[in-house]
Amino acid sequence: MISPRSQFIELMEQGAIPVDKIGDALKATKVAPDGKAWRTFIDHFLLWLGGLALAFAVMFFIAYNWNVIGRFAKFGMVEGLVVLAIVAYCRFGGNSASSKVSLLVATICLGVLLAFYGQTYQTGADPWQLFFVWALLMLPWAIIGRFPAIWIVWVVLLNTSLVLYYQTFGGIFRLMSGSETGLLWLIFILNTLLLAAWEVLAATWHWLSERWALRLLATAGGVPLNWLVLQSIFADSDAGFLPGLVWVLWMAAMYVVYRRTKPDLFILAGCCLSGITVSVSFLGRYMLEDGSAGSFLFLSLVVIGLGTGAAFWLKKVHQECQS
Amino acid sequence: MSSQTEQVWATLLQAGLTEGAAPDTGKLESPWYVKILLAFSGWLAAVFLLGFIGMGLAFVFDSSATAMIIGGLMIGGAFAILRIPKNEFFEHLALAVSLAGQALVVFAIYDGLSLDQEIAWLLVALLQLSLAVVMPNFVHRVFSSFVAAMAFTMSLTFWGGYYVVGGIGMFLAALCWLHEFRYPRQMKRIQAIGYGLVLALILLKGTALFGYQTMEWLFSGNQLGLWAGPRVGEMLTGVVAIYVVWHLLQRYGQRISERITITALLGAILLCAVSMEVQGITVGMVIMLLGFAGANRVLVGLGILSLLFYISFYYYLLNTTLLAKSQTLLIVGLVLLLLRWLMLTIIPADQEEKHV
Repeated sequence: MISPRSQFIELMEQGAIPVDKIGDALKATKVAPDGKAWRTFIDHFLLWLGGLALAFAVMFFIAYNWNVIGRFAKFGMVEGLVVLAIVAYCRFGGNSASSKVSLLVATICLGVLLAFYGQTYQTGADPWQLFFVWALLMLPWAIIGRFPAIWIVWVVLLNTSLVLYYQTFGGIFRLMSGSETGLLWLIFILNTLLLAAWEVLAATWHWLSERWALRLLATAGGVPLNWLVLQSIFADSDAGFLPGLVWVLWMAAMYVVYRRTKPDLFILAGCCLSGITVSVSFLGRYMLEDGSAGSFLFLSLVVIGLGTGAAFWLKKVHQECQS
Repeated sequence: MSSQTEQVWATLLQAGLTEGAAPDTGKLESPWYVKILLAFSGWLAAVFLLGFIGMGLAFVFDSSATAMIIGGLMIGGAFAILRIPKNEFFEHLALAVSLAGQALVVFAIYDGLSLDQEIAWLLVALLQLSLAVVMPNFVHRVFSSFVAAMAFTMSLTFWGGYYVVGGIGMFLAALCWLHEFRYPRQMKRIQAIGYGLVLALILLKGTALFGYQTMEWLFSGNQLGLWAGPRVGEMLTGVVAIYVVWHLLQRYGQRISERITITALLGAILLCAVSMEVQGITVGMVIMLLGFAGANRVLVGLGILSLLFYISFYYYLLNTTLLAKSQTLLIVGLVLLLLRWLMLTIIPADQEEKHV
């Protein structure tokens, strides 16, 4: 969907709006927001930033480990804040900005509480457990919250616990072990599965269909896979064809889903970027070994050609999406 | 013309702001991420082009004068290519040729002119500034204005003014975005320069957060002799933030004596005052305000990302304790929520239409 701003700019470029009427036209088309929109914007800005600042204040305070205040007072403070935030959530009702901020503050304070528990009683738990338990305990709030930001927090916690688990045990379920490569595979698999699940669930629950969250997940899955492919291209030893094969399948799946089923120009642009990077890296790996000037010139032309092709295709898709 | 643009045209007709049939607007603006793709491929092609010059035409690097002439010719050639009616291939080619040419010119400035660092950076800034104005391509202009801002920062840092750059950059960015529609023929140019400045501003504020030690490390231990500290810089950004709020109030015809004006200005001053410690909040807030004032979602997104980035990195600052940071954030949080309460009390939901 083209934003009103883009439509307005399009008309301005055509000289269709008289210069002396631009100010009024901006207001009529709501490109310049009206009083109601400004009020909502400032309301949400102050609420989100204020809520997050308070939650971070609690986090920093506990992290400082100030001895002047006893542990029970600290527990009381953090637990009190969690309860207060949940009471605020119930008080404001399910779908308002205030309730969402309250739930997010409660989620952050819950993590602070778990960290403080570990700090106080020295339970001997591994760091991954903190993030995993945090993700587990916040799950009911994410379910009732019904907004993408809290689910993205949950995804971040899951990723963090996975990375920490892998670093602690040097593998997972004895399936993948040792190297950085295994970790990249795991992050790719986790985020791609989450992306698939998110897409499926978004068909039922429309509040999940906000594009920014899906794009973030697609990026979180795509970046490690691309890194794996680049590693396999530039590795001195024979790294095998698996990363390349999975990359080809992943690109094909992305094309089918985001070109045919649910067109998404951002994800397609990301795939083009990935395609250019991988192709040029592959060619560069073998062509630049001799360091000849011709190879550099050829690669430069290849990049320009691929970039042109990608931009041309994306514009075509964009136009199709708008018509 | 798309159906959505037809709706906008109908709205304008209804308001009596346009007349006649809707113009044929077949051209569709590429989203920002497609432009990033163009910028990336242009940059990558430029790197290989430089490799080609380095390997095949090594004599170019032997003499600064040759590098300057070849670089200048390449930039001129790119300008000529970009004047050809829009064509994807030529656009990519020109971007790559221009970036490689700029690298040669910068090499010549450093290698051949034996200038002081501050003068050399100033020359680079002026070169980029002129390219930002002259080059008939949006992505090129964004890139050039970004590099111009960075080079100007480097120059000013050698003169000891690193911390005031943020304020200057924010003021220039604010001027661009507050007046983007004022000069229709220059609109695209102003927007491109505005994006370049905002991107540079976010990056510069990020590095400024890590303080003087980072600067010393960046400048290899040179004695910078700063004449303005971080607080002066933050005050300057605060003044710009208040100017932006004032300008927006003026745009909507609010008089200084009106309740909403006084509340907004006092709120902005208070917010700037409390964010003297948590640096970056003012920058993020201004970017969001500028974005929202023009329904620019990219700017609003950049503002949100910069705010999250600055608050997260506040944890890692070493010049103050976590306890002090916690107290500061507590005050910031309470002030923000107090401001919200005040706003909702002073301007009830049913009155905002009267005010604007």
